[in-house]
Amino acid sequence: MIKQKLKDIKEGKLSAEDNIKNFINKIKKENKNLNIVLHLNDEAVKQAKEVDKKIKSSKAGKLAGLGVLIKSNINVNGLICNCASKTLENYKAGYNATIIDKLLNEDCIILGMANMDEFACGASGETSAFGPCKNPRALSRIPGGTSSGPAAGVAAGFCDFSIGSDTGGSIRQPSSLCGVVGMRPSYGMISRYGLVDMTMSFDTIGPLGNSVEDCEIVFNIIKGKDERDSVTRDFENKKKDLKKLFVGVLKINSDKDVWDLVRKRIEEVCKEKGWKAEDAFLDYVDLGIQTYYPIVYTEFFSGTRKFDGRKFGYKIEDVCGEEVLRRILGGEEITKAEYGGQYYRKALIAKKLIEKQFEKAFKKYDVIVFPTCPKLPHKLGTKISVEDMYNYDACTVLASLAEIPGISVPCGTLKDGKEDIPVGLQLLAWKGDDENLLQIAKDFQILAL
Amino acid sequence: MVDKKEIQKEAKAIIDKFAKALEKVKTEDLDFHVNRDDFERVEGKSEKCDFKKQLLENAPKKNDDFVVAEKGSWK
Repeated sequence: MIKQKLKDIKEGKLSAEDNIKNFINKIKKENKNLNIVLHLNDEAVKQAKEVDKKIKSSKAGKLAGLGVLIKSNINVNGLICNCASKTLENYKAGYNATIIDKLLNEDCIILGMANMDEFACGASGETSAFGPCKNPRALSRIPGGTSSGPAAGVAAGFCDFSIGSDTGGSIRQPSSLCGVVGMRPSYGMISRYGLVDMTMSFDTIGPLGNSVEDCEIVFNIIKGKDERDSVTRDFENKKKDLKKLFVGVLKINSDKDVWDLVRKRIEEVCKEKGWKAEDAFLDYVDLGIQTYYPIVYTEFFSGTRKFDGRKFGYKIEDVCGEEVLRRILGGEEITKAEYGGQYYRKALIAKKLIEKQFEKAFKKYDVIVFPTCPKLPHKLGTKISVEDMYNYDACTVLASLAEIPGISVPCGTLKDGKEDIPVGLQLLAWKGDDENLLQIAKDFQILAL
Repeated sequence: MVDKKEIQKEAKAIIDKFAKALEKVKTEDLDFHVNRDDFERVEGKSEKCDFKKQLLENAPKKNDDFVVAEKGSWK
């Protein structure tokens, strides 16, 4: 894991150059089959050599020599930021996102840009204009989305960790399906400056890694208020007494096999730690999808008006895929029909009510747990209905709507045919409680699936 | 080939279905605001960057120093 590797690099047992070369060689060898990386950073090895010099002079940062993959909707100066869309096929970023500057300041090395659902619209990783990436833990299945590449990249051993974006579950859901750890921070905890927006009311950036400890190290580097993202702020960190926790198990529709596995893990952990647990019932949680999508359609339509093909790329409606077009046309429709507020405003009200439900629940519970994804992933290329696709996010949109942090940790596998499919357990905490959430999640993760 | 009309129809059906599901939500007067501790911005330091060069590199149509955009077809 990251902590051990950082120690090895610091002690000279492994050089940054060798670490990066190992990843690049692995990517070059295996990416043709997995399609996880869209663009490699040609300067990565050169940058690693510079980091090695810093390490020798004891001037290196906290992530010195580690290799990271970045989702293709985050700007990295000089690299292609195409959002996995033909619209921005050759768009070269002209600046760094805030989180990229933070990682580079700690001497982390960017390996390349990872595949994703086109403009972060999708739930399976299949809407990428450059083809879906495969799930390294279950090759016939979807990797999940929209941070398909960042999740699959960690699972395939292409990087030490990765950075994704999570709007309605885009970090947590693919993390669950690929058997890795992925965290969505509290809304406003991590700057989105430099992220190509999908829905500004929900968009967040977060880490994906092989363990909660890995995500925690990265989280502590990239968090913090940024004047260039007006919703960011400093949160008060109130440490919980982890010996006495009250765990709420959220009742929500999910496949029985998935629920049984998640519940078994919850019972094991609570028994071992001596924590109290009970079923938690919250109103309106069955309306997550119906609340989330009208807001997404509307804000995505508005946000994509800049893709008119003048300053960069192509006009989005001329070249985009079906899901992107559906959201644009749906958003256009909502904007036209907004009289009486039957769509957008109604959804905003429902969002607020869901947030209030969680606020009330967290007065009682320290953490709320339930499955990350309500079902097992379908086989790549299988045609499923739009609503079935949206339902992949049924468990993850709730944290997005309530603006609270969530993390998905591996909790076991289920056999389906010849494959062992990873299953993720999701933990939620109240706004600003991210650090406590990370501590609690460590006890629930089952590593090395 | 993407059938725009079909997708438009499908999108409308989805949002109508979702709006119907939200009918049971009690309408309340709620405030929507951004939580900030202060409302004064800290001015950042200016940074030198060759933004003009980068912008022109990404522009699909350009003429020496300018981005070229068509007239009249912008809806």
